[in-house]
Amino acid sequence: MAATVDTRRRPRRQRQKVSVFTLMMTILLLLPLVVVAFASLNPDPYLLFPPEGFSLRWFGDALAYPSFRTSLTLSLRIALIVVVVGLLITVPAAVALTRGTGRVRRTIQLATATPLVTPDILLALGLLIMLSQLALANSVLGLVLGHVLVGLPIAIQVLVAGLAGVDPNLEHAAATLGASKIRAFLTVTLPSILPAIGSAAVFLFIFSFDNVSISLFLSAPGQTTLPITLFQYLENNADPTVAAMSTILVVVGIAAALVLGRLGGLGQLAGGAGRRRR
Amino acid sequence: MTADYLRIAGVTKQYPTGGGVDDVDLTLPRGEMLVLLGPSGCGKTTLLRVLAGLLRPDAGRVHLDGADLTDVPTHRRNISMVFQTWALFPTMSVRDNVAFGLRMRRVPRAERHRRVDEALALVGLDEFAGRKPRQLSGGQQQRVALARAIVTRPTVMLLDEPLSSLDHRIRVQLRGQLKRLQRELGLTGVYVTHDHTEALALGDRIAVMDAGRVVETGTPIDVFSRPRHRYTAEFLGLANVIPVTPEGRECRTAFGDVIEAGAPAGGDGPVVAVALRPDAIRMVESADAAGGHPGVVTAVEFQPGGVLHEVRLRDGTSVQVVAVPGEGLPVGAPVALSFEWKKAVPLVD
Repeated sequence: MAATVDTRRRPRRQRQKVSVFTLMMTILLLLPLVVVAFASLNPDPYLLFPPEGFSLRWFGDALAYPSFRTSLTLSLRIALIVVVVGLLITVPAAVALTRGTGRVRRTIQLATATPLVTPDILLALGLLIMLSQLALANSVLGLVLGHVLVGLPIAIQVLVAGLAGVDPNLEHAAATLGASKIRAFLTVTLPSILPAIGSAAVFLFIFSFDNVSISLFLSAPGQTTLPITLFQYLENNADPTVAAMSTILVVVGIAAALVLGRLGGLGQLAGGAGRRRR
Repeated sequence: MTADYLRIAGVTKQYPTGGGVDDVDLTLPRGEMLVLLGPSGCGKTTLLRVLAGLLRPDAGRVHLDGADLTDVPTHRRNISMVFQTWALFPTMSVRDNVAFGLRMRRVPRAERHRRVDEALALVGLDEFAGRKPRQLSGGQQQRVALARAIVTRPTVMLLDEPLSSLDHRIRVQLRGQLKRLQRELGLTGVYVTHDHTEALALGDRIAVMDAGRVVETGTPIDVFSRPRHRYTAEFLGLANVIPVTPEGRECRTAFGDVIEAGAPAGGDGPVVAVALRPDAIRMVESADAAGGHPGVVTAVEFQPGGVLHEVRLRDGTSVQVVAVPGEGLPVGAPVALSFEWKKAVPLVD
């Protein structure tokens, strides 16, 4: 049904070209995930593709494995803190970026883009040195800081795109009707960018949840995030428990992507820069 | 009521990139509508934003009802503004949009409800209270913006080309509604537009602006039928502007006729041109140019009031001549023109 509606809307040839391309790219990107998912179904205790049978026992094992459970809890906890801290930083920064004057704008833009061009490892190393000297190296704080930094540029980009779609006259109208600047922002602008805030939150969550490089440096022994624990497990074992856990993560990731699609966050990321200043 | 309700004194606001307004003085009695008329970039919107408090003037003061408003922030001015883009709050229903100003003023719920209903009824949108702005047509959205602006009983209502993004029929209809509302509610308003028909229809006073300055102010009748400045006549485009050179107490027109044209009241400078309406020029078809200035019809346009001819004279200048429907001439016809100089309006620079 949806397909027929679509073909009527745009020229057939163009649509076909797009779908073949999209299909190829999707297959290419999803292939490793498919391999992992199938490998987790293998009944025998080794990673194999294609699987030689069908069994869900490794999923049970994965969820029951104590070290996976504590890591999963830790990862989720850190990701949630990262979302809150990240939004507290990125929302005001994005407002400054869209509403600010030339100089403020350039400074903030540069500052928030820095994590994008510095290697994560360097960032992690720097944080490690700094936090050890402050005797905070083994705390959750380091992980949170590092993850926030990594997710920052994307979250800002999404929020800036969202804010750029809001007519600045809306706040002016609110002001003429008697709303102070802060009230105008809270009652008029903020509700308009809620989808963008949602998208930014999902991005911050995923970037934290999936992060390896920062976590590798800043995880304390016995307090490792899930990706690191999986990696360590794989060094000693080769059974499909890891694959099963990974499959669970993939499912969570796809769910997040669906949420993003709903909120329009992926589109804002792709076409965001072009849509600023309509 | 001799005291001026709204007084703009020496307001200057310059942008580094040019534009803005320069030393503008204007006054407006209570209950009247002032129209700022001018081409884009003449500073009319800048002036309006200074009145709203959205821009700080570099110099000058704004007084309202005896109080200095210049340093009062926008949200404490008790004004309202209608924007060209309407600027309705997209996440709120029509009712919440209209109620916004009352909520900011902490008007109790019951009274708020009653006043919103009243305002929506005034603009004829009572049935649409529950809708979101994007579910309405352009004209309806602008009426919501209007209701939102009047419901707070503002001291001054500011309107920034509110009708320019609507199509012609809706525009004319809304224009009438706006004028009626303003009269009935006794609202004082400042209305910015580049459209002289809007200015004529809505204004109690018109201020014609050019390059950041007010060229001329007056009632619509003054400005339209007896403009005093060459710029006004040219901008309105309703009459032929014919250059003249003074000759003693009389003037010689660009076409060689000597006419009487005293300097307009106010006497700021010599007469440099006269305005002559297209219906004050008689045109007869004539190959030998007997009894008038010879010319050739170069364009014909049918208008509700008659047929507008563009006639090119021997010296290359063009004038517009209106003929009654049925007496129109085809393009290329040789004509002789005679001017009724008695109807000419003298203009200064």
